[in-house]
Amino acid sequence: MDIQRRQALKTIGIGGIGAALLAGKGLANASQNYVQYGVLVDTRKCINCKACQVACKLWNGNQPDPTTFKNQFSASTFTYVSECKFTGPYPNVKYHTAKRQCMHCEDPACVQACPQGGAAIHKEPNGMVVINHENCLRCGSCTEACVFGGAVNLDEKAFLLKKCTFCIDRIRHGLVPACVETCLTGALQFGTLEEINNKGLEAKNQGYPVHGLKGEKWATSWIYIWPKGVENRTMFFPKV
Amino acid sequence: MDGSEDRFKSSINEERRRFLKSMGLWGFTLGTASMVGDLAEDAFGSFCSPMYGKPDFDEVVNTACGICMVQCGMKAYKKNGRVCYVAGNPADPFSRGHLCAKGKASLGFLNNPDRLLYPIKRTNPDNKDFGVNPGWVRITWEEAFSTIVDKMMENTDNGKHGERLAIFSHGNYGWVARLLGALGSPNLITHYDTCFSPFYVARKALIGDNCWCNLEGVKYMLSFGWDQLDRSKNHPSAQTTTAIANGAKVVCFNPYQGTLGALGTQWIPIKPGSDLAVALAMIQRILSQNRFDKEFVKNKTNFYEHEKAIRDHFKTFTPEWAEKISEVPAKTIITIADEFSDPKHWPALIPNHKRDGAGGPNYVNSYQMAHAIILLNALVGAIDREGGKATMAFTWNPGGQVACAQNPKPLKELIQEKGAIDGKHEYPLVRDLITDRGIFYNVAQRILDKDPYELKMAIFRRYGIQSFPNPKKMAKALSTLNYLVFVDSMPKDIMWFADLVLPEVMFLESDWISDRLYTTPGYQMVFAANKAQAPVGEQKGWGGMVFELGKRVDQKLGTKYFQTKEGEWIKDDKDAFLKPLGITFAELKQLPESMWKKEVPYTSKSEYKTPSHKIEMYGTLFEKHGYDPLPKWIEKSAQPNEEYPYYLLIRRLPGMKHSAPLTSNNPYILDAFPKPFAEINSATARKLGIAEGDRVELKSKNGSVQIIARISERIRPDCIMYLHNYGHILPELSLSQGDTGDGNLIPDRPKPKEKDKDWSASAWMSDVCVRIQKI
Repeated sequence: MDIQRRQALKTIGIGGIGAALLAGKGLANASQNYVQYGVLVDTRKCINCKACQVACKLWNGNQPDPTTFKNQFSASTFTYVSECKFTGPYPNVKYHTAKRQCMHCEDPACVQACPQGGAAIHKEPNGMVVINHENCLRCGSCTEACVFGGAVNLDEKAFLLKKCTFCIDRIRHGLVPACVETCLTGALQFGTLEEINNKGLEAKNQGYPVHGLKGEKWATSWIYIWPKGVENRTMFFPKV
Repeated sequence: MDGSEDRFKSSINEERRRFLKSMGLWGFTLGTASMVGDLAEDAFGSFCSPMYGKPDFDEVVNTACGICMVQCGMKAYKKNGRVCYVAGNPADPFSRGHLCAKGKASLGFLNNPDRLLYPIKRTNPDNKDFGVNPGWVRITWEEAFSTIVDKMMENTDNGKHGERLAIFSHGNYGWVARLLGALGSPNLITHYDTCFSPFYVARKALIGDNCWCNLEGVKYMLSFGWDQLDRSKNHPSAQTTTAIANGAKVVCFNPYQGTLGALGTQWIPIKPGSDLAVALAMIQRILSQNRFDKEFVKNKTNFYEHEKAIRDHFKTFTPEWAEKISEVPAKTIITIADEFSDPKHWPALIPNHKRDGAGGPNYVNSYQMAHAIILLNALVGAIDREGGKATMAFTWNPGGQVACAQNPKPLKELIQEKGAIDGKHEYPLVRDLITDRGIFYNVAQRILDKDPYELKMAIFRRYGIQSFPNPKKMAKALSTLNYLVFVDSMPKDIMWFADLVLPEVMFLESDWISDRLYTTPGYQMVFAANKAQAPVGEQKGWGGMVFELGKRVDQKLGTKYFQTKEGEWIKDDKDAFLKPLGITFAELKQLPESMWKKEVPYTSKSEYKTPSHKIEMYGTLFEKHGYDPLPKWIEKSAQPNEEYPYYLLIRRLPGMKHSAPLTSNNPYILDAFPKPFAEINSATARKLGIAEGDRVELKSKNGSVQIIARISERIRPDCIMYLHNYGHILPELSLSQGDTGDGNLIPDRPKPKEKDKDWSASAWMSDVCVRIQKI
């Protein structure tokens, strides 16, 4: 952390918040230590309030999308809450909702598909999958390769491919991702990938469906816990 | 920036054009430029500064969210003098650093291109109707204030007939009542009957005060239509999901599953308006089993003083009887009553809040339901529990007041003397217990009928015609007034009928005090909500406007209602409000996080503000005024028939605050919650030939809306769910969804021919049946 930025953070109080958020986790300098990060998406606590969607737009300076109004990824929508899945017909029905974004896969198909061989899109040592616009050919190979429903999208005006950054800018400055910060109920939890994976394993051992765990075919940095009884067809993970 | 703001601006124009076209307006825009000024040029470009790379702020301001009454602690991050990001304040023990979608989207409100920027007046006063150009022109604040006070004097005959003036004000009740009192008007009117008068009056009458349902530690949560998760209020949502994660059983009676029904343990799709039958049967079962918190009931309530009457009253309300009405099997009612009253499931609680479900002002029988909920909570000791957890707990605020040189006649006396244009004089408990609130349900008809007198002038603060049931009738009533003033941060469709419009600051543009009325026990706390940036136009705060009008009225009448005893004009009341804490507002601002908080263990009261000084399971105040002292069964009013075969349910979305343009015209909110829709059970949709996304007309005996259909499994087949949150008929609202307000479907309740048995004067907002058809 250079002195100027440290001074700036101190002045505006962000350093204090960041230290509080990451204290005790040994993460403050994690970018140098290559600690992997993860987010737990506990859909048992998701109330479909969509505060995470709004937070993402604001932090990333992404414009609201008044013309499409579609619940889907776009160059200005890095995340959205997927809703209206159900497990059965009325009245034996349970709706659930889950936030979707780039899953920051352990072995990202988008990176594999990149003709620039990782120069345009790569997985950071901390686990974030990020785009390097300078080297990007805008060929869309990453968009097509994404197994989670097109998390990478072309901003036609800016002619840039865009996606969830895992708030790499915030994490490297001691803050949790914007969506996690605002989540009211703890449905989104940030930590080291090890911590998050362990929480996922614990839930799995209690009989909850869990996706994205280490060692699975689609291991991801964002690990999902689903309510019991939710059918596979309502989830958006690829079939193993 | 990457140029996408240009795309957005062109999208706004495209939306606006489409909207104007769809509304059948013919090419004028009501002098939009005079209100919007140059803000729209960069409204959605500059505040979203590109932050990729590093957090890049100049300053952080401690403030509070002013979108709803939870008032979560907020930090406003500034760049180049403007707020460019907001986040929760982790030092706030309730919001814990989190903000809901509404709070997070407040920048879409602050920088909204449609905001009111300057005072404006109508130049076409003789022709007020939808679609008629008011000819707005910009005026100065001096002209605005002097015009309003002149009109007040003219229309009240210099205060001799103050009743000809009404102020419909959301907030600042004490000072508005004083302003009205200065002129002799009893007409301070708010939206309580459309929002929560049944349980508000019930709580005041039976436990002595309003309270807040603290869900922390609840092991058994029983909901009659209450769905806090669907409202996404901050700490109540977290408390609910935490309780569920900790293994609490959550049983949800609701014709629509909602979020609580989905995440809870058991969803029971009850027949609309029959919750009261189940509640009465539960009381009967619990009393017959003699399994309740006898110590609490003995020490805290008047149960044993009226034991025989209470037991006799409930004898006939058996679970089998309730099954016939509610379609909930008697066996299920018995099981739930037994679980609820079993000490091993305690603390148990039935929360209720505002317009949720059966205890809100939704059905003809809601007032009895509000009483029944208090009875059930009393039986399991869930009111004012020591420690404050899992209880209906009393809230706190400093409540200091400015001492004025002269006080006008109190509102209650004015109501008794003159009657009120909202009919409050016909409801003694509303008049006595919530004097400075009001009744919306029939005020339009009363204005048209001049009952009990002619209303000549009104000031509306934050209310629009969509705030009322049967808004078209309200529009007709307003068109009969001599003079109408509208005050808000955003335009509303009442402006078709207004003569003068005052622009108001939004919460990030002024200093104010967050008094945390919705907080849970264990803390006494207030925030200084610091002004984060200068107003984007010439807006002022509503409080300051009332002080200025009060001063000018005093000057006209030679009175001293808005002066201190030392003869100074009152300009601010923050220091007086904080005086009981021994600090000034300036000192509060300087405290760490601008926050005064004190951990105070919640102690249960030894006496309550009721006639018996106890929690009144048997309502002696009701009895005294000729009402039922105990809740009894009353049938819901509207029932499906050939013409209108479906019950109407109304849902409020988590990202919306009513249909207020601060959210319904907010691009971030509309990004997440884009379109109004009617939700239909799949079996019903099949029968009617309606598919997902079809355009449909939803029609009641009052009116109709045209929206899209969504098909689901989470609603009873005999119900149609519609949303509360959309709809404005005003071209200035460029993102509005047109004439789609749920109010179109809700009739204004007729004035009762005899004394109304509903002591709460509830507006019965969901006691409506509808039909739906593809168009």
